[in-house]
Amino acid sequence: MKIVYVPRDTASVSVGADEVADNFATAGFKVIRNGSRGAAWLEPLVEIDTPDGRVGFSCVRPQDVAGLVDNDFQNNAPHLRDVGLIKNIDYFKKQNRQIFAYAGDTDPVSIADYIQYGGFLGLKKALELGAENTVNMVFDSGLRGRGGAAFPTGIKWRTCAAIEAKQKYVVCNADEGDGGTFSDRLLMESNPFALIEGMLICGLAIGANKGYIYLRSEYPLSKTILTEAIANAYKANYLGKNIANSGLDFVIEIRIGAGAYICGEETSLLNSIEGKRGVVRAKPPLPAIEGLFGQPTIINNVITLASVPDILAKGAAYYAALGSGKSTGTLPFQLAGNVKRGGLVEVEFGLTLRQLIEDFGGGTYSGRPIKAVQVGGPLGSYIHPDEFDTPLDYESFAAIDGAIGHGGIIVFDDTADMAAQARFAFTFCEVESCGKCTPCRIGATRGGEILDDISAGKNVEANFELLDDLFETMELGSLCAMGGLTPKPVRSLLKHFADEFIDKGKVL
Amino acid sequence: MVTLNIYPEMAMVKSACQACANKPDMLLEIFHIIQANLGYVPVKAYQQIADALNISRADVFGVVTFYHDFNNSKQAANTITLCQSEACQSMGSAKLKTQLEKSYTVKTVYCLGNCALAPSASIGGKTYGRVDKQRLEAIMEAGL
Repeated sequence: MKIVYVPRDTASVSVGADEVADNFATAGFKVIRNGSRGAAWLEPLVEIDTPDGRVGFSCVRPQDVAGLVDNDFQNNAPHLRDVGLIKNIDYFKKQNRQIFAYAGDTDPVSIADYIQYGGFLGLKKALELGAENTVNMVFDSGLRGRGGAAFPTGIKWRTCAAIEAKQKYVVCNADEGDGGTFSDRLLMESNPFALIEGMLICGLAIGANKGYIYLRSEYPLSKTILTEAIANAYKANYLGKNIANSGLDFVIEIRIGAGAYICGEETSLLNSIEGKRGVVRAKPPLPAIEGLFGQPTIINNVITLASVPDILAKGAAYYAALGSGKSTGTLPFQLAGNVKRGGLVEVEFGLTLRQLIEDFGGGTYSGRPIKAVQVGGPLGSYIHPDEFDTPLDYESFAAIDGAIGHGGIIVFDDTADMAAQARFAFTFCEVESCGKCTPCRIGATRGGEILDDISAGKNVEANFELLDDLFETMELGSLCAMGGLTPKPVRSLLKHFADEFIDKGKVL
Repeated sequence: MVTLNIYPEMAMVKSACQACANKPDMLLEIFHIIQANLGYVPVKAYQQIADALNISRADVFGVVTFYHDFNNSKQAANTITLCQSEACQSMGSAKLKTQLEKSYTVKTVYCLGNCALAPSASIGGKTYGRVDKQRLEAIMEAGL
């Protein structure tokens, strides 16, 4: 029976992949639901095997299936949607894929596929090295937390490993709430075993036998795929007791969030797993010392944990040589919003923003000029085209008052209303603040009111001064990044697009 | 404490708590199960859950009201959950919301993680990308 590959991730399914798969099955094909390669602009990207490798057909609609079967698969006629050999597609060729290297090649829940492409070699190495040297290797790789804060992973692990405790936990933060980001989702839906292996290695390194994946409820398909992958890992004895006859025990439980953005903040997340309101905890104590249920806990983002197996398998030096300066390795950037070729682009740190949005992204979806891009989620700065030549690494972005965050890049064309985007930053904080600390809880509401007054032309100058004062209060007085960084996008908008705020004021 | 008020969903709520071994850290999961069954978490259930988990009704109330996902009444059948975070905004989600509100109940969500195919919506737990008024109307018509 002829095989056809139809991706099963959320993005592909959101534009009809399930119906396409059904139609192929009806036409007598064996349909393999592979992981997505992350080029959302090509989805659903249907593939078939050829002697030279996989050949792809992009943006396939359910009604296209018959034509593909009768003509294109027989090489009768070149098709509009024929994108040729997958390995020759520029969008993929120009990337440096490490964590997503085989996404799309494999059935995401097949252990055999995972092993075929080098899966569990990292775990094997970690078992040879032992706990302490595993921690050292992660430390030496220079890996930094991919959730947004970019804290050195090795230091976190070392802190936790040094504590004596009866019970420790590994918690995976899969509460990917930032607008414009989807790399965690894609990893879980295309390469979930990398996450499972990363958690296993972390458990071994710090001495934990239990892991939790805190997954946001907005990702129901990730839950399905992850649940299947975990079940298969148990069956193959990569989870459970005496894993691969190593003496290592490790179990993983999935916990589903409930629509609270703040639960992506690590201490809120811990409260949420404990069945409580997702309010922020004051630090110290650090979670690495006193975390989930009061026990030492490592909380790492999905991409951070999924980066670990490769570091072990290929060595710290290999990983540390990738990237630029203190930003080692690769980051799966996410091109989103008003962009022609949106999707996941995994590259080494150091590429410029311009290269990413022009060479990969191909400009705006609408075809209009780019006005600004927001980098790093709702708490990240809006970047003006004048700054597009900034290299994408943590330090260079900090130098222009920006942040890489979780690697989300949202493109806006010239029709965007920047004053409205600033207003949204406060609205978002107002809706999503946990309410524990005053600067965030009250500041978000007051900030929005001040912007409303400015746009209505009321005491414009005095209100700008007041806004500046509020920024300082929020930045210095908030318990976590939610309140502390909400001023960031607003400040960047005021810096680059002040006339939009002021003009509005004067006109009205 | 004995729960005196009797309501039709009691058995369902009880089994949800039991499925989670009456563990207090499973509170969110219990709400998810109840909501998946009933479409909402009834206010009357708070005391019963509190009793089962040996926590206070205030704890239950505090948690259920903290999270955006949980409703205390049935949602309208014609509800469309529309993403309104930045990526979708850049593709006109605010305008789309205004258009849809004329005929549907529109619920806001901040990010469905489908940001490269914005704007996105969620209907009946399924995510749809590159949506416009026409496509959503067709989906709603097919589903209702």
